[in-house]
Amino acid sequence: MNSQVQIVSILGSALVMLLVFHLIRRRKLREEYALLWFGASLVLILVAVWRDSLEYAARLLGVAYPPSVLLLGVIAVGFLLAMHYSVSLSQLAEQNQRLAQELALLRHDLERAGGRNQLGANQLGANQLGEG
Amino acid sequence: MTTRLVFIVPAYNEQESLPAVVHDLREHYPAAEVVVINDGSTDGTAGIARFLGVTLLDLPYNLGIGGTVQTGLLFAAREGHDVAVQFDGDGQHRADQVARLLRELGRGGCDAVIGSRFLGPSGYRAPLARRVGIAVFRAVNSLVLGRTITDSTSGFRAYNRAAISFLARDYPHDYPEPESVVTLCRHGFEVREVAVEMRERQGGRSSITLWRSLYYMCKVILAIAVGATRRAVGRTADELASADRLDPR
Repeated sequence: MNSQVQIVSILGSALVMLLVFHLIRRRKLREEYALLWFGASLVLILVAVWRDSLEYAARLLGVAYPPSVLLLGVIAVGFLLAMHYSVSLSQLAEQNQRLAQELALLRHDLERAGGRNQLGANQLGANQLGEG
Repeated sequence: MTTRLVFIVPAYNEQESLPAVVHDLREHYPAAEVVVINDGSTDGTAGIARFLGVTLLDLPYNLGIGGTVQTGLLFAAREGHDVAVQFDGDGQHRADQVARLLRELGRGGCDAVIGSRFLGPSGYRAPLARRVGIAVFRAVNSLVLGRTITDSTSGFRAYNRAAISFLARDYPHDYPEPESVVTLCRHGFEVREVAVEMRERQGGRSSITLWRSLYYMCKVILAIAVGATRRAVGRTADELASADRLDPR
């Protein structure tokens, strides 16, 4: 019974690790996130292999029902991750806005330069006409 | 030395009102540069601006009023304009009132001048949602700044170079007017108000409905409160150098 749970969770964690590996190989995941997910799956494997660790942690924290320590850990990690994503998103939005602004300014510069070139080209044409 | 004046006109779907706004500005300030920032409009705003021959900054998508005005301020900072006047594209602001802002800025000793509808006997009555918001911002501002700004939601403003280069770097997001007043004051800029008259809204509806204004109010109050806990940073040497305030004489 217990070993069944262990096998399932070890397999599950291994799958997560494989997935992360695959995503990095295909350059879909940046290394800093990869490390995080690797770490998370390692912790899961550790808990699965060394089952007493949960009870040990529960005693340490004064929690009566050891599995809830696991839930607590998962929720805490999820919460921190969500927070991290909010921060990243805010930063990205900021950078995105600045890019749009720079783009508008560049468009204007380009149009201005284009207009000047056209003016130059016309003058050139007029000169050639005059010479001919 | 002549003062290089730029009008920053944020425009989102303002094809109806933009020609009149630009004509109004040109009639009163023929030498000034008019910069229309098109905030990803879905109508013909950009084409009309091109047709009118104003400087057009065409944003690739909608950034909201904060990002739009900041684009204009970035432009003014880079082009080295001395004074920037923020002037709405919806026809609410009047070019004949700009002189009041410039006169106050020209008197020296201040970096930003806000055109207020509530100083003086203009008899302007804003919609209820806006009035509530304005009252709350007034209270928050006087709490944080220890002084009263009667119309901190007004988008009719004039900035000198120091304020332009500061705001080009640091400008709040979606409902930026009240927050930018606090930011400016906290960074040691002098902000003043003068009485101006504005037109009643010509067409369209205010972007501010009751629920949205509640949401914005919470957001802005949070932003202001958090801003108040930030360390007040002094001006950079660059800003101090460019802070040669306008001298009318």
